[in-house]
Amino acid sequence: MNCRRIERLLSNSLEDRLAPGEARAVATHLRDCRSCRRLRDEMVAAEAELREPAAPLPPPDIEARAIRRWVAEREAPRWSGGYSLHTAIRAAALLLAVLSLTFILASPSFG
Amino acid sequence: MVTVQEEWAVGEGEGGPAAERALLRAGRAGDLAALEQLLALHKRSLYALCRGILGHAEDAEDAVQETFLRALRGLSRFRGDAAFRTWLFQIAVNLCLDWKASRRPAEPWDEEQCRVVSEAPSPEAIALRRMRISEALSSLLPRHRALILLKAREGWSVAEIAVAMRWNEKRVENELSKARRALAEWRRRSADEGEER
Repeated sequence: MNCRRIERLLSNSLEDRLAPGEARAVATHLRDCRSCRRLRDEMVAAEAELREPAAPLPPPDIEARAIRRWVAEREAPRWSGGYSLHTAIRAAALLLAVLSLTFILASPSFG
Repeated sequence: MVTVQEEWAVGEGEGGPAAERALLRAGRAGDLAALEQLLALHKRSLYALCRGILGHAEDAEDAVQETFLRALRGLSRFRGDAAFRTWLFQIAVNLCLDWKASRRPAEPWDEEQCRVVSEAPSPEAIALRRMRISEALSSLLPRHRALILLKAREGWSVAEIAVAMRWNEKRVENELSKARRALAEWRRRSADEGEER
Protein backbone atom coordinates (compact mmCIF):
# COMPACT_ATOMS: atom_id res chain seq x y z
CA MET A 1 0.00 0.00 0.00
CA ASN A 2 1.21 3.52 -0.74
CA CYS A 3 1.32 6.43 1.71
CA ARG A 4 -1.86 8.06 0.39
CA ARG A 5 -3.88 4.95 1.06
CA ILE A 6 -2.29 4.47 4.48
CA GLU A 7 -3.06 8.08 5.43
CA ARG A 8 -6.74 7.38 4.83
CA LEU A 9 -6.62 4.22 6.93
CA LEU A 10 -4.76 5.68 9.89
CA SER A 11 -7.82 7.12 11.60
CA ASN A 12 -9.69 3.83 11.42
CA SER A 13 -6.55 2.09 12.60
CA LEU A 14 -6.61 4.29 15.73
CA GLU A 15 -10.25 3.30 16.19
CA ASP A 16 -9.47 -0.38 15.72
CA ARG A 17 -11.92 -0.43 12.85
CA LEU A 18 -9.79 -2.03 10.12
CA ALA A 19 -10.24 -5.45 8.58
CA PRO A 20 -7.45 -7.81 9.70
CA GLY A 21 -5.72 -7.64 6.30
CA GLU A 22 -5.77 -3.84 6.28
CA ALA A 23 -4.53 -3.69 9.87
CA ARG A 24 -1.56 -5.90 8.94
CA ALA A 25 -0.79 -3.78 5.86
CA VAL A 26 -0.89 -0.58 7.93
CA ALA A 27 1.37 -2.07 10.62
CA THR A 28 3.90 -3.25 8.02
CA HIS A 29 3.86 0.11 6.25
CA LEU A 30 4.31 2.05 9.49
CA ARG A 31 7.33 -0.04 10.38
CA ASP A 32 9.07 1.06 7.19
CA CYS A 33 7.69 4.55 6.54
CA ARG A 34 8.92 7.35 8.76
CA SER A 35 6.59 9.94 7.24
CA CYS A 36 3.40 7.95 7.92
CA ARG A 37 4.65 7.05 11.38
CA ARG A 38 5.09 10.75 12.07
CA LEU A 39 1.58 11.48 10.81
CA ARG A 40 0.14 8.80 13.10
CA ASP A 41 2.08 10.20 16.05
CA GLU A 42 0.92 13.74 15.25
CA MET A 43 -2.70 12.56 15.15
CA VAL A 44 -2.39 10.91 18.53
CA ALA A 45 -0.51 13.84 20.08
CA ALA A 46 -2.93 16.45 18.71
CA GLU A 47 -5.91 14.66 20.21
CA ALA A 48 -4.12 14.24 23.51
CA GLU A 49 -3.54 18.00 23.54
CA LEU A 50 -7.25 18.59 23.14
CA ARG A 51 -7.93 16.61 26.30
CA GLU A 52 -7.15 19.71 28.26
CA PRO A 53 -6.95 19.48 32.03
CA ALA A 54 -8.44 22.95 32.33
CA ALA A 55 -11.82 22.77 30.65
CA PRO A 56 -13.75 26.05 30.79
CA LEU A 57 -16.45 26.18 33.42
CA PRO A 58 -19.97 27.23 32.46
CA PRO A 59 -21.87 29.80 34.53
CA PRO A 60 -23.00 28.05 37.72
CA ASP A 61 -26.76 28.57 37.31
CA ILE A 62 -27.08 27.85 33.61
CA GLU A 63 -29.39 24.83 34.10
CA ALA A 64 -31.56 26.71 36.63
CA ARG A 65 -32.00 29.58 34.17
CA ALA A 66 -33.03 27.21 31.39
CA ILE A 67 -35.58 25.58 33.68
CA ARG A 68 -36.97 28.99 34.71
CA ARG A 69 -37.37 29.93 31.04
CA TRP A 70 -39.09 26.63 30.31
CA VAL A 71 -41.46 27.00 33.27
CA ALA A 72 -42.25 30.60 32.24
CA GLU A 73 -42.97 29.40 28.71
CA ARG A 74 -45.38 26.77 29.97
CA GLU A 75 -47.10 29.14 32.30
CA ALA A 76 -47.52 31.93 29.74
CA PRO A 77 -51.26 32.69 29.36
CA ARG A 78 -52.70 30.95 26.34
CA TRP A 79 -56.08 31.28 24.71
CA SER A 80 -58.13 28.27 23.96
CA GLY A 81 -56.98 28.40 20.35
CA GLY A 82 -53.39 28.00 21.50
CA TYR A 83 -52.35 31.60 20.78
CA SER A 84 -50.03 33.24 23.29
CA LEU A 85 -50.48 36.72 24.72
CA HIS A 86 -47.64 37.99 22.51
CA THR A 87 -49.42 36.81 19.40
CA ALA A 88 -52.61 38.51 20.58
CA ILE A 89 -50.79 41.81 21.16
CA ARG A 90 -49.16 41.61 17.74
CA ALA A 91 -52.54 40.89 16.10
CA ALA A 92 -54.16 43.82 17.92
CA ALA A 93 -51.35 46.17 16.84
CA LEU A 94 -51.72 45.02 13.22
CA LEU A 95 -55.50 45.53 13.33
CA LEU A 96 -55.05 49.01 14.75
CA ALA A 97 -52.58 49.88 11.98
CA VAL A 98 -54.95 48.63 9.28
CA LEU A 99 -57.89 50.56 10.76
CA SER A 100 -55.82 53.75 11.01
CA LEU A 101 -54.71 53.41 7.40
CA THR A 102 -58.30 52.79 6.25
CA PHE A 103 -59.48 55.83 8.19
CA ILE A 104 -56.75 58.04 6.67
CA LEU A 105 -57.42 56.81 3.12
CA ALA A 106 -61.18 57.23 3.53
CA SER A 107 -61.04 60.71 5.04
CA PRO A 108 -62.21 63.53 2.68
CA SER A 109 -59.04 65.53 3.25
CA PHE A 110 -56.86 62.74 1.84
CA GLY A 111 -55.69 63.43 -1.71
CA MET B 1 -38.06 3.34 49.53
CA VAL B 2 -35.08 4.86 47.74
CA THR B 3 -35.57 8.52 46.94
CA VAL B 4 -34.20 10.21 43.85
CA GLN B 5 -31.55 11.90 45.94
CA GLU B 6 -30.40 8.62 47.50
CA GLU B 7 -30.40 6.79 44.22
CA TRP B 8 -28.40 9.61 42.67
CA ALA B 9 -25.94 9.59 45.54
CA VAL B 10 -25.05 5.94 44.97
CA GLY B 11 -24.26 6.53 41.29
CA GLU B 12 -20.65 6.63 40.16
CA GLY B 13 -18.73 9.45 38.49
CA GLU B 14 -21.18 11.92 37.06
CA GLY B 15 -24.00 9.60 38.07
CA GLY B 16 -24.63 6.14 36.71
CA PRO B 17 -27.33 5.34 34.19
CA ALA B 18 -29.67 4.24 36.99
CA ALA B 19 -29.31 7.57 38.76
CA GLU B 20 -29.85 9.40 35.48
CA ARG B 21 -32.98 7.40 34.75
CA ALA B 22 -34.29 8.13 38.23
CA LEU B 23 -33.74 11.85 37.78
CA LEU B 24 -35.35 11.71 34.36
CA ARG B 25 -38.36 9.87 35.72
CA ALA B 26 -38.74 12.33 38.57
CA GLY B 27 -38.27 15.26 36.18
CA ARG B 28 -40.96 13.98 33.88
CA ALA B 29 -43.26 13.69 36.86
CA GLY B 30 -42.74 17.41 37.49
CA ASP B 31 -39.83 17.43 39.93
CA LEU B 32 -37.92 20.54 38.85
CA ALA B 33 -35.09 19.94 41.33
CA ALA B 34 -34.48 16.54 39.73
CA LEU B 35 -34.44 18.13 36.29
CA GLU B 36 -31.94 20.69 37.50
CA GLN B 37 -29.70 17.93 38.83
CA LEU B 38 -30.03 15.99 35.62
CA LEU B 39 -28.98 18.95 33.48
CA ALA B 40 -26.21 19.88 35.89
CA LEU B 41 -24.62 16.46 35.30
CA HIS B 42 -23.92 17.36 31.70
CA LYS B 43 -23.48 21.12 31.69
CA ARG B 44 -19.71 21.20 31.95
CA SER B 45 -18.97 18.84 29.08
CA LEU B 46 -21.75 20.41 27.01
CA TYR B 47 -20.32 23.87 27.60
CA ALA B 48 -16.81 22.70 26.66
CA LEU B 49 -18.20 21.15 23.49
CA CYS B 50 -20.21 24.23 22.49
CA ARG B 51 -17.32 26.52 23.26
CA GLY B 52 -14.99 24.30 21.25
CA ILE B 53 -17.29 24.44 18.22
CA LEU B 54 -18.43 28.06 18.48
CA GLY B 55 -15.23 29.57 19.84
CA HIS B 56 -16.93 32.18 22.02
CA ALA B 57 -17.81 31.96 25.71
CA GLU B 58 -21.07 33.92 25.35
CA ASP B 59 -22.20 31.95 22.32
CA ALA B 60 -21.42 28.73 24.16
CA GLU B 61 -23.49 29.87 27.13
CA ASP B 62 -26.42 30.70 24.83
CA ALA B 63 -26.03 27.36 23.07
CA VAL B 64 -26.09 25.38 26.32
CA GLN B 65 -29.17 27.29 27.50
CA GLU B 66 -30.91 26.69 24.20
CA THR B 67 -29.92 23.02 24.26
CA PHE B 68 -31.38 22.62 27.73
CA LEU B 69 -34.52 24.47 26.72
CA ARG B 70 -35.03 22.30 23.63
CA ALA B 71 -34.42 19.18 25.69
CA LEU B 72 -36.96 20.30 28.29
CA ARG B 73 -39.51 21.08 25.59
CA GLY B 74 -38.97 17.65 24.06
CA LEU B 75 -38.77 15.74 27.32
CA SER B 76 -42.14 14.08 26.82
CA ARG B 77 -41.03 12.89 23.38
CA PHE B 78 -37.69 11.49 24.55
CA ARG B 79 -38.10 7.74 24.23
CA GLY B 80 -34.83 6.74 25.82
CA ASP B 81 -33.55 4.75 22.82
CA ALA B 82 -30.24 6.56 23.26
CA ALA B 83 -28.76 7.76 26.54
CA PHE B 84 -30.01 11.14 27.74
CA ARG B 85 -26.44 12.43 27.41
CA THR B 86 -26.25 11.36 23.74
CA TRP B 87 -29.57 13.05 23.09
CA LEU B 88 -28.38 16.29 24.73
CA PHE B 89 -25.15 16.25 22.75
CA GLN B 90 -27.09 15.57 19.56
CA ILE B 91 -29.18 18.68 20.17
CA ALA B 92 -26.09 20.74 21.06
CA VAL B 93 -24.00 19.63 18.08
CA ASN B 94 -26.75 20.33 15.59
CA LEU B 95 -27.56 23.66 17.21
CA CYS B 96 -23.91 24.76 17.19
CA LEU B 97 -23.37 23.71 13.58
CA ASP B 98 -26.54 25.55 12.52
CA TRP B 99 -25.45 28.66 14.41
CA LYS B 100 -21.95 28.42 13.03
CA ALA B 101 -23.37 28.29 9.53
CA SER B 102 -25.68 31.25 10.02
CA ARG B 103 -24.01 33.55 12.55
CA ARG B 104 -20.92 35.71 12.55
CA PRO B 105 -18.82 33.44 10.37
CA ALA B 106 -15.87 35.81 10.15
CA GLU B 107 -15.57 36.65 13.85
CA PRO B 108 -12.17 36.01 15.36
CA TRP B 109 -11.76 33.12 17.77
CA ASP B 110 -12.33 34.00 21.39
CA GLU B 111 -8.96 34.00 23.12
CA GLU B 112 -10.22 35.48 26.37
CA GLN B 113 -9.31 34.02 29.70
CA CYS B 114 -12.07 32.03 31.29
CA ARG B 115 -12.75 30.33 34.55
CA VAL B 116 -10.77 27.13 34.78
CA VAL B 117 -10.54 24.29 37.25
CA SER B 118 -8.01 24.63 39.99
CA GLU B 119 -6.06 21.40 39.48
CA ALA B 120 -4.23 22.92 36.50
CA PRO B 121 -0.53 23.72 36.95
CA SER B 122 -0.30 27.52 36.67
CA PRO B 123 -2.43 30.29 35.19
CA GLU B 124 0.23 31.03 32.54
CA ALA B 125 0.48 27.38 31.51
CA ILE B 126 -3.30 27.11 31.35
CA ALA B 127 -3.55 30.27 29.26
CA LEU B 128 -0.91 29.03 26.82
CA ARG B 129 -2.50 25.62 26.59
CA ARG B 130 -5.93 27.11 26.00
CA MET B 131 -4.58 29.38 23.31
CA ARG B 132 -3.02 26.42 21.55
CA ILE B 133 -6.23 24.45 21.76
CA SER B 134 -8.24 27.40 20.44
CA GLU B 135 -5.78 27.79 17.63
CA ALA B 136 -5.94 24.10 16.78
CA LEU B 137 -9.74 24.04 16.79
CA SER B 138 -10.05 27.23 14.79
CA SER B 139 -8.01 25.60 12.02
CA LEU B 140 -10.75 22.99 11.57
CA LEU B 141 -14.14 23.11 9.88
CA PRO B 142 -16.99 23.41 12.43
CA ARG B 143 -18.19 19.86 11.79
CA HIS B 144 -14.66 18.57 12.26
CA ARG B 145 -14.41 20.48 15.53
CA ALA B 146 -17.55 18.76 16.76
CA LEU B 147 -16.21 15.36 15.74
CA ILE B 148 -12.79 15.79 17.29
CA LEU B 149 -14.23 17.15 20.53
CA LEU B 150 -16.67 14.27 20.86
CA LYS B 151 -13.85 11.86 20.17
CA ALA B 152 -10.98 13.41 22.14
CA ARG B 153 -12.81 14.92 25.08
CA GLU B 154 -15.83 12.70 25.44
CA GLY B 155 -14.17 9.50 24.22
CA TRP B 156 -17.19 8.60 22.10
CA SER B 157 -17.13 5.70 19.65
CA VAL B 158 -17.80 6.09 15.94
CA ALA B 159 -21.26 4.58 16.50
CA GLU B 160 -22.11 7.06 19.25
CA ILE B 161 -20.90 9.99 17.17
CA ALA B 162 -22.98 8.74 14.25
CA VAL B 163 -26.10 8.95 16.42
CA ALA B 164 -25.25 12.44 17.70
CA MET B 165 -24.35 13.82 14.28
CA ARG B 166 -27.16 11.98 12.48
CA TRP B 167 -24.66 10.55 10.02
CA ASN B 168 -23.96 6.98 9.08
CA GLU B 169 -20.83 5.36 10.52
CA LYS B 170 -19.00 5.40 7.18
CA ARG B 171 -19.36 9.16 6.99
CA VAL B 172 -18.14 9.53 10.57
CA GLU B 173 -15.06 7.45 9.69
CA ASN B 174 -14.31 9.56 6.62
CA GLU B 175 -14.87 12.90 8.31
CA LEU B 176 -12.92 11.83 11.39
CA SER B 177 -10.02 10.83 9.18
CA LYS B 178 -10.09 14.24 7.49
CA ALA B 179 -10.34 16.03 10.83
CA ARG B 180 -7.43 14.08 12.28
CA ARG B 181 -5.27 14.74 9.25
CA ALA B 182 -6.10 18.45 9.38
CA LEU B 183 -5.27 18.57 13.07
CA ALA B 184 -1.99 16.69 12.54
CA GLU B 185 -1.15 19.09 9.72
CA TRP B 186 -1.85 22.07 12.00
CA ARG B 187 0.39 20.56 14.70
CA ARG B 188 3.19 19.97 12.23
CA ARG B 189 2.86 23.50 10.85
CA SER B 190 2.87 25.08 14.29
CA ALA B 191 5.94 23.04 15.27
CA ASP B 192 7.73 24.18 12.09
CA GLU B 193 6.80 27.81 12.81
CA GLY B 194 8.12 27.39 16.35
CA GLU B 195 11.43 26.14 15.01
CA GLU B 196 11.71 29.06 12.57
CA ARG B 197 11.32 31.63 15.38
